[in-house]
Amino acid sequence: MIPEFSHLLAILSAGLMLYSSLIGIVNHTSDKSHKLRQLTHNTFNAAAFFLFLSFAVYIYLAIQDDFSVAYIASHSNSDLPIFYKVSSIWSAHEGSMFLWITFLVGWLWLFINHTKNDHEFFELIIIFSAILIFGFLLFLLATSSPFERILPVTPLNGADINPVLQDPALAIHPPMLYLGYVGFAIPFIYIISFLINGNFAFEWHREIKSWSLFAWAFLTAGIGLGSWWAYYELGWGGYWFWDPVENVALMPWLAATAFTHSMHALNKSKVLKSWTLFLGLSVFTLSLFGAFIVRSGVIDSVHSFANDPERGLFLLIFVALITLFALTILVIRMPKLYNNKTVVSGSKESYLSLNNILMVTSIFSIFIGVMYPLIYETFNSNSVSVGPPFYNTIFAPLIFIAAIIISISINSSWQRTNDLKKIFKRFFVPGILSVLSTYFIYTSSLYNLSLLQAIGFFSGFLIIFSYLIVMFNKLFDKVYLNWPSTISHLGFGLLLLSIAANSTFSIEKNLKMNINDSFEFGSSKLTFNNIQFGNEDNFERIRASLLFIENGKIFQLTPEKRRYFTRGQITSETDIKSTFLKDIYINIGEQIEDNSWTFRLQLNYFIKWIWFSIFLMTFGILMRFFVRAQ
Amino acid sequence: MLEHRKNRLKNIFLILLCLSIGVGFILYSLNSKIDLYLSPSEIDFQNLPTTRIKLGGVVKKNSIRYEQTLVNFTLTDFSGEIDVIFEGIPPDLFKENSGAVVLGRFSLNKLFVAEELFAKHDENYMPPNKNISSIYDS
Repeated sequence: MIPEFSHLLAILSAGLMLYSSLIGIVNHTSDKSHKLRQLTHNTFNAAAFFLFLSFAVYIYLAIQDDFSVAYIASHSNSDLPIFYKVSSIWSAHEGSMFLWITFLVGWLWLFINHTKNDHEFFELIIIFSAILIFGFLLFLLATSSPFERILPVTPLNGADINPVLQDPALAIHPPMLYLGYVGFAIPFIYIISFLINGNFAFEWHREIKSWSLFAWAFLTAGIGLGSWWAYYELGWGGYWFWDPVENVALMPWLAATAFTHSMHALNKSKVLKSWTLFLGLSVFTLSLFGAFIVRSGVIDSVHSFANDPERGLFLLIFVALITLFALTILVIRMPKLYNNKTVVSGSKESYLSLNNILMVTSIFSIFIGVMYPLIYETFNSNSVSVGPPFYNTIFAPLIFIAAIIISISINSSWQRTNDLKKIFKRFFVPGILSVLSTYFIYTSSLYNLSLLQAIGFFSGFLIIFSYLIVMFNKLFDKVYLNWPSTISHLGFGLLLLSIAANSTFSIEKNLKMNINDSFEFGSSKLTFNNIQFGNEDNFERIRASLLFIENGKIFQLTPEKRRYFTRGQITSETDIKSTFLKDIYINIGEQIEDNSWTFRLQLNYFIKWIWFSIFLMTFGILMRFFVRAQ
Repeated sequence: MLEHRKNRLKNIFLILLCLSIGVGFILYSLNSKIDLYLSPSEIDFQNLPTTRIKLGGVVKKNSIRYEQTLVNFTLTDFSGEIDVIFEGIPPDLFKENSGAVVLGRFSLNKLFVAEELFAKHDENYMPPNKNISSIYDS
């Protein structure tokens, strides 16, 4: 009974969304009565309420172990703690799509009820929101229904959630990421409504700015959490692999970063009008493109989620229609958006535009990298794969230029040019400091610094020094300092620095050890003490115990290998001990013939700093809401 | 008016020029940075590829052997087989009769030396366009 109730609510919600958009369209094209507008709004709210209720009931079903629901039966288990019963909902395609749509409705519902209803294109916002939501609900109900049931013979217990997904970081990583992706539906809908409405004097960016920044914060945190989870739970030992699934998350992030920056320029000096509109539309479009790539299986990824041509086709058509519609409207309206204000070269907005171009270039390069195997396959009999070397060579020069522009732009001002002498003087100190620091690392490190790594170090140092100098000046003069921006950009500089340092200093060693063997390298020593076998409720385990001694400091490491009973799945539990600069990361492998075991020891330098810098970037943005900008 | 049009044409031309130079650079970089993605039956033993390639297939049953820190196994697509050697700890999902992808080169003795080893985590074993069910049916 209850599963049908949840299903019915979702169908009802889809119907009401369609109804709301239809009344809206009829009213908008005819007499625009206030009463009908109210009806459109109320119907939308009711539809949103039904969907929230439907999702709440679904959560209840998951908690209550209703294994008559096929999706819950194949992804949950009665032995799971409640926390993972709930998170099992988004552990596969159908449920995660349900969550995605619920968030979409949540954001749009919040926005619509937050904005003033005497807003000049209020009704258009509701119409487009309702159409968008209806389309996705149709996709969910028709091609990937999480409500299907196993009747009359209901399984006694569920098939269990994949053990590697039983992890707090993974439980919150998808929701965070989706909140980010879907959050950009607000600027998307708002911009389309603005373009159709046709009052181009209206300052559309004012209302949308904070919403976009919020969504940006979620997107950044979501990507960071995903990277962290892959590192410590999947035992990959790294943070980023340039896999298509990761790349399609990076594209909207870059577009969102460009969008929020150019919106800032628009706000300050009324330039880049149509460019900002274009970026605003592209963020959500790229999010949808990502959803299509991940959920259709057209691109061969090591970890793809669902390979279903029917879903792929539906998504492709829907995403293509949305994109085409948005871009067509933009192109039609473009001539009327003509702006008589131009960007003054040498002003802050000019540097910002340059970095915008770099960001779009990088999006374009990633896009080509993701699509190239598909294009290549069309014309050739065999296939290819595009890996990290491509992306690294593309990104390094772009980041190098971007860092220099960021550094210069700190001391520039809005709407007027600074003379070159002054700019050069200000750039001189951080520039020299960064060159010296990079050179210091080059000479003092035992490793060969590649050109790419040197670029990473230099760019990171340059951004950090530039902002530190500004902060230092602040101590003596009462100059204005934009704290949120400073912190976010320091985070970005630190990110580049940590990535470069990680790739330069990290060490990986594959070892074969018997009990009581030790392995020495440099000033450190690893000793394999013993191995234990044990049984837990839902898995059996092998746990090795090792000592890592470095300069008199002792670290106890206990990596594990587990075999879960329900699925027979084997997982490795990495053991990680962190110091200020590095992670000592150890994985246990197989037992080989002479009873010894294989281990992988990694010393990952600065990897914690990567996540700390992502935190700084997010924190800086959130700070914006608490610190009054001048 | 004519001047205005001339300017616009000049701009369009400039944008196209920049764009094509950019795309040219990207494609050039792509060509030197991509790896061919092959399956075992596509390997010609008389004429082994000399560049780094990606090889995808299924780990043959009873073929995994561990030796020191090396892993030896055979990758198959049910019509061709390649012996692979990898130094390190394979991922958790690496097992017999499961999909794996390796990145590396052929050594002189026709052994594939993998620099990286991935285990695929879905039911799709093969590189794209190679339908597993058609192999089972035949």
